[in-house]
Amino acid sequence: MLTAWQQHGLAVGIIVLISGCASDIRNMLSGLEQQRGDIELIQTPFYPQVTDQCGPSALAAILNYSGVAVTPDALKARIYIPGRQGSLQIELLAATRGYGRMPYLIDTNISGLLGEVRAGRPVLVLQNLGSKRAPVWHYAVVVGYLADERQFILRSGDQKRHVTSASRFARTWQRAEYWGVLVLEPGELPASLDADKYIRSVAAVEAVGDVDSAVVGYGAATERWPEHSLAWLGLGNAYYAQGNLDSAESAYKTLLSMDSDHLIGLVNLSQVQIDRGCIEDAAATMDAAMYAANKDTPIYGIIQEARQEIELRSPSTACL
Amino acid sequence: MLIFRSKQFCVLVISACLISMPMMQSAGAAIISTETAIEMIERQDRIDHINEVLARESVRSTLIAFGVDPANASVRVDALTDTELQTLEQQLVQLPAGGVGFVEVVGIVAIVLVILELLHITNFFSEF
Repeated sequence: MLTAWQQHGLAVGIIVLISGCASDIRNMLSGLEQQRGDIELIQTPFYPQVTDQCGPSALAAILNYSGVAVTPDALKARIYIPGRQGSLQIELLAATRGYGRMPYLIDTNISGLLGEVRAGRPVLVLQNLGSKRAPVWHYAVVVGYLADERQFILRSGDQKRHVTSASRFARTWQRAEYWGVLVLEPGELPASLDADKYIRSVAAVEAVGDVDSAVVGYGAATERWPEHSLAWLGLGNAYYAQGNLDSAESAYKTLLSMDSDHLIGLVNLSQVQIDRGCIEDAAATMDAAMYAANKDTPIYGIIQEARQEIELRSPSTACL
Repeated sequence: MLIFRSKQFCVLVISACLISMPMMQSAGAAIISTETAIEMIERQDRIDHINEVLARESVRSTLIAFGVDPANASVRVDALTDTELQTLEQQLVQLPAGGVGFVEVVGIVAIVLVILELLHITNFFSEF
């Protein structure tokens, strides 16, 4: 049995531990002041979780909502790790791409989360239902929020409509570093308009070989952020990967119309011109790259060699 | 093929792009004319390639060791970007694996309550 002093000490210890992250939570909950009106995406499917299978259940729910017909059982083969008795965040993202959807990590705060839910997208979140030292990791889907009651509505575990207080949810979410993901159709933009993050997400889709989705994604990015050079570069590269030289050239040229010294844009445009047999154009483009490049950087040497190689080609009579 | 990918900005990656040219286009081989440059770049490319192959095999065998079906493990590894692959190679064992359900949580809470009760820190059960 503990003495009164020991009990007192334990209580103080617990309070210290709790207050350690209290200010963080307070900041986060203060974001709820601006949240007005209830929202609930009642159409979000629910798959009661089988033991250890919250990952497949939650991911199936948001993929279904986005129009992908897939069951938790099918996802189990893609994301479940028996030896870890769970699923890793990275594999959730990879599997999402495998089903033709783009995973997008939400902004790590309450307004980022609710902004997406209010825009009509359920958000898959990671929670730590245990403590920092003894974590109990759990995936759930946030489908709604009740403003007056300050309660979140989740598809979670075996509960189709799990209603939990904002402060309780915030604590479990904070211990999972506010990780949340939503799935977008190719070309669909999230509520949080972070150009760099969106383009990085498209680049990951491109990197695993889904160039058709990448073209649509970069296309949406260039429409929304017409002055973002990386979006145009990505669009050009994705078109090039499709074998669509006309569109690739046009994307690179748009990029260069905004930033005429963009080295990567110049080098890539030059390559497209070579592929089309426009050797004189390619030489002029590469000259511009040489002129723009800093002579002290390694890329200058690469550009110089490439320029000399073009010189060795016989200029063709007509471009393709 | 001298096309720089959107995410590839560092010189090393540019080098890797250049060295892939001989495979894609016969003309590309001539772009790099300095012997030294070829050797340096080829060496870096070989190292990158070997590292990637090793990382894929390492993650794949770890997944299999954790009970994933070998055929599924290959598909899953192929679906990862290079960055994701590197993260998994280094941290597959430590990263959070969401899996617990509510039954387990209720069970854990119950055990904690019983322990607190046994230590006489709480007086929860004797209230009834």
